[in-house]
Amino acid sequence: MAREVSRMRRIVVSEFVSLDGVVEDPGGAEKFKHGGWSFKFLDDQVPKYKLDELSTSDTLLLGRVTYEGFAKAWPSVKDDVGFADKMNGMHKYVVSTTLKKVDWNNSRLIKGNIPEEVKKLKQQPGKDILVYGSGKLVNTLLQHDLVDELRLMVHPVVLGSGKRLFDDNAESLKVLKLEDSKTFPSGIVLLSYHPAK
Amino acid sequence: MRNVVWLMHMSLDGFVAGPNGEIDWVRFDDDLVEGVQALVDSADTALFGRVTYQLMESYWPTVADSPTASKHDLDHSRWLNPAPKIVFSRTLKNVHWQNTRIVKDHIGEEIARLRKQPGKNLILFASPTLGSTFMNLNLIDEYFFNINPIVLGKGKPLFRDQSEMRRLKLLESKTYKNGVVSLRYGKGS
Repeated sequence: MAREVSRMRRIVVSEFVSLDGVVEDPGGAEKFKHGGWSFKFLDDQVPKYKLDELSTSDTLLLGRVTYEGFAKAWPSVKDDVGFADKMNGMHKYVVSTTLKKVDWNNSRLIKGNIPEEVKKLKQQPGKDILVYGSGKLVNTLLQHDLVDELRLMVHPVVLGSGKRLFDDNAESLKVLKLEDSKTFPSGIVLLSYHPAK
Repeated sequence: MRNVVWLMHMSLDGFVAGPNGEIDWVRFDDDLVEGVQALVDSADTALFGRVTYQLMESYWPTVADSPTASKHDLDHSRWLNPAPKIVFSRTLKNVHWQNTRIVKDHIGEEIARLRKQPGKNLILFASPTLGSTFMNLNLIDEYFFNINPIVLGKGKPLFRDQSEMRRLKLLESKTYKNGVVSLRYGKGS
């Protein structure tokens, strides 16, 4: 038990990504021309995996674009496994300099000084902090070495256009350590990385 | 019929080389060599774009003469040097490597012709620009991507000019001790 208590919360970035690195609008709420592309690769194990993942977390950390898509979609979603209830109920922190208010249940704004605010969040007691989508925020977190785990669910598709996860002009390279990989029946490959020590 | 297979090492963020062509981050050890060997052995002809060709031409013809040559250097040069090699380029004038010819144009027709000839597979080594062209022409039967555990941040990107969405079919995924994940894909439905 003592170990549980002393363990600092982790920032876990979890992404649906195409083989060409595109993360834009896998769920279809953002009007991207390939919006909803991840639904073409559903199998019975992915939802189970995502539900297990969500249950290890009590807080979402999101960029504005992903937040706005989620805030529009999730409040009206109902499912029989409790995924939407959990999404709607958990804490949400939204990083944005332009948003004035956040209306989705249990949401708070982070307006600036992202690394400091995120470090503060990590020091609070709680479960893992999950980041979905939020490409710009993920690059900021990576550059400040604030990502404890990077999970990419690589879908077997080359989308050819759309916003990519990784900044094409990052300040520095980051060496990672492959922690785990798993193949799903739909051909999705989960790649999980930790920072290299 | 002969298949076209594409072998590519890439970073997690989809680069195939650093901004100045650096490939020193590519992890390639004995285990991975073994994994790639089956793919190379399934082929008897090598295909290249100009940039990759010129890199290879400056290395492979003489590497076996070097006292520091590795086992992989020796094994691969025994396969690659005598193999028929085709470099696709509109600008390259001369080649200095045995059994190599230049194809300037009509890529699709050339590949169709090669496919009909008897022989093993045709392997496209790296060559990201040509690989993209091949993809757009629907010429690739199998993809073999080695994903390295590094975010390069900038460099020469793979997959930048794809005209349309393309579904692939995962055939195999393999994890290596050095952190590389090999993903093998075929054409999707």
